[in-house]
Amino acid sequence: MVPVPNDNWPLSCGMSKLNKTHAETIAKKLGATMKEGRGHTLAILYVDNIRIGQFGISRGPKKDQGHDHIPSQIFYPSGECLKLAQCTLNRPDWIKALRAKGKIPTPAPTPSPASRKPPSRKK
Amino acid sequence: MPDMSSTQTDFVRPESFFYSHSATFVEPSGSQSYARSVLGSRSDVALIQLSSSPEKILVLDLEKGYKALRPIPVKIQKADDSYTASFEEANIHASGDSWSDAARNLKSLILDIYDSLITETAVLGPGPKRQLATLLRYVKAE
Repeated sequence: MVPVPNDNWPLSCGMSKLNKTHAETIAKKLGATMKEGRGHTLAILYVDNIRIGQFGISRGPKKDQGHDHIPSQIFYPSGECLKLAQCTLNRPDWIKALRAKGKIPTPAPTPSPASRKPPSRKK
Repeated sequence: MPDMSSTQTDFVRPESFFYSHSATFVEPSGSQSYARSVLGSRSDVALIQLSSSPEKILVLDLEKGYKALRPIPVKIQKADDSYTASFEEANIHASGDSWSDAARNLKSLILDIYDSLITETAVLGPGPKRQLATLLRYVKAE
């Protein structure tokens, strides 16, 4: 898939500057729960109903306000965050990366019906 | 704002100065000769600017209803035309146009996150659990 230019163009994948527009897009793509705070909107991230992290989005009018603090708060490198905001990465990619880093537990595999042993019957 | 230009700082026991003055001192290993300027433009956030970067400040006072149990160490870094303030131990970061804006934003974000985490203790993952444990050592709701 080819990245589609958006309002943040020409900032392309690979550059590290994250602004408020990126922050809002990242929150949306990660399915964050938004909560209004004192001077920020708090984007709270849940995976399987477990709170994994959060980051603040400035409520000021400046769309180019720096938000380079987001990567460390969602355990994702800045380049990947930018791809999340502008390119092809999505919530499943982020969750996969977090599982690989051990930031969220890997769900236990559920045994398939075929592999289940019937309970032994005692005579 | 107090005139800090002639302040004698007890860097051997900085905590004694901290508790006897409404002032902020960081870097116990530093010495006065490295301190180029003391105190920022805001009375609620003080700065000691050391010759090495990044700059470090301590946040002492929180808004009414909250108490700082100990000074909150904050690292300020400049990135392009904005500043990022970080409470690294709690992994909380905020940005601003100036270092004092970034610090002020961080102060409010710390309380936002504190309020939010403390109401959701049952569903916290490992990262937020650590954050709350750290925050409880620094912040208390009164």
